[in-house]
Amino acid sequence: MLEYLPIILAGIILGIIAGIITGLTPGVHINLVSAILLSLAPAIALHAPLYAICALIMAMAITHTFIDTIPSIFLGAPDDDKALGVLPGHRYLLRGNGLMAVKLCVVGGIIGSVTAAVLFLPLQWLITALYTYARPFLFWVLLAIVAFTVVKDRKRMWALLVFMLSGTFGLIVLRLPLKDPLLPLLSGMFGIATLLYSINENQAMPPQRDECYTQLDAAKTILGGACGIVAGILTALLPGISASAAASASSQGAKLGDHGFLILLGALGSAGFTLSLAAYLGIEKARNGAMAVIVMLSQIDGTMTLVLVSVSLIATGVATLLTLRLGRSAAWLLPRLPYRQTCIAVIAFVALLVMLRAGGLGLVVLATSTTVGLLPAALKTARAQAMGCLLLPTLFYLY
Amino acid sequence: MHDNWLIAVALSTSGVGMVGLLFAMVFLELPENSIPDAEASPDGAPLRLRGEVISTQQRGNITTISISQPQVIEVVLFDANISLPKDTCVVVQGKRSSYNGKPQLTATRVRRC
Repeated sequence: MLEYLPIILAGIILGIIAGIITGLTPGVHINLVSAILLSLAPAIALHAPLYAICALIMAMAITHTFIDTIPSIFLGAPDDDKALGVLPGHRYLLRGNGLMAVKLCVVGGIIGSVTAAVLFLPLQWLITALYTYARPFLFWVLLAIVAFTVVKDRKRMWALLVFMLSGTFGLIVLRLPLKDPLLPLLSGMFGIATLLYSINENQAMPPQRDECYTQLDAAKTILGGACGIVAGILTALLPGISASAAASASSQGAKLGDHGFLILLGALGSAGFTLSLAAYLGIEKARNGAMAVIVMLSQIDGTMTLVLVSVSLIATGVATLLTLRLGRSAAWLLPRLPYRQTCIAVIAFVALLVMLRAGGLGLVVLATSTTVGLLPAALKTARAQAMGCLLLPTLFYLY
Repeated sequence: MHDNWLIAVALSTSGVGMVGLLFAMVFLELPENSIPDAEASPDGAPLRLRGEVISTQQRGNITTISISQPQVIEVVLFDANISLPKDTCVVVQGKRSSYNGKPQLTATRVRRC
């Protein structure tokens, strides 16, 4: 089988290149590229074994989760799984520590990827057992977590109002005939709302520190990594839970701070995809589009699992180096651009993207979700309450 | 954490991944296809089939082996002189091709199960 090594390595390199492109371009999702690859599979099969495409998709997915931290933190233009990282990332950015926020996500990404690979078999068994026995109790656990989050807010009534409003809006949007409802919902609620707030406050992107070390709080790093793995398990278990909802649910009650939350997001991104492979092996359900394409292209037996997990580790290392390099370039370049105009350009780009992906209805959702996203700042309540847009639909799903 | 440490961890992670990939490539084998899979694949698609030998024919430097899963497909080997007893379990690896409109497998490797 060694003769197929060059073709699999070529697949990994192409996957990493594709991951850079999808990671740097908000709205271009790996599921889209995977679907294109599936349609091209008969032609590709003439020249290469189809498991090389599986390696390509795995490398692309892992690289994507690392690279997409850069537009999320520096531009406030997140992909679905990093939408909640905009707020803590933005706070780091405004203190001149944007690069450090990227590095925290990278550290989380390494923790998530390595943990998921090393503990692949125990986690597969855990997912299978949880799917069999614990699913009926998840609703009550999540409800208790949500109630705790609202009660601990200093402005409980406003917090409840924001949670219910954003939650009701989320329920409506997820039932609309939109191709990609999370794009306008999360981009508006957490991306554009943050950028508009920055413009209104006359904030400017300060020069970014380019330090060659990352201050790691050991406790928050471990806790963030653990919460990321728990969130990854949730996304692998439940088809209705998005990465952002899982991140939100798993972090409630844990005192992560911005530091730990960025680690969580990094860990969730990289572990989530590997764990979706474990979920497929355990409960025979592909929890995301890219994994569905992989299982369509190849039988997933022990050998293929080892190949894919190995590819995820190779991609993790390469993506780490690439993210550090590209993050450093972004930290040098972006403060030299006029901040207000950059924010406006990003908002226009996101609106265009929403228009192309979700049409006029998507733009209406984007405008409304932006308005709802501005409420926490106006009411002086925690912005995390706007996560109701994902948590309330999840509660309904679990109920 | 100094960036050099982060880079060292990244390189180690990729290194471990490479070792895992090499292990899989050297000591293990990729998934096998079924004969219906092979028939549905386009010409040139790489395939790996397991089946029992029904018959072996030798014509010049071409060996044709019929294998069954129980569906039957012909496996062609060029520049090979192989004789396998009936009912021998074999794993063949190669690319799909067609002959007279019928699918076959042009093998690069044949081994007993």
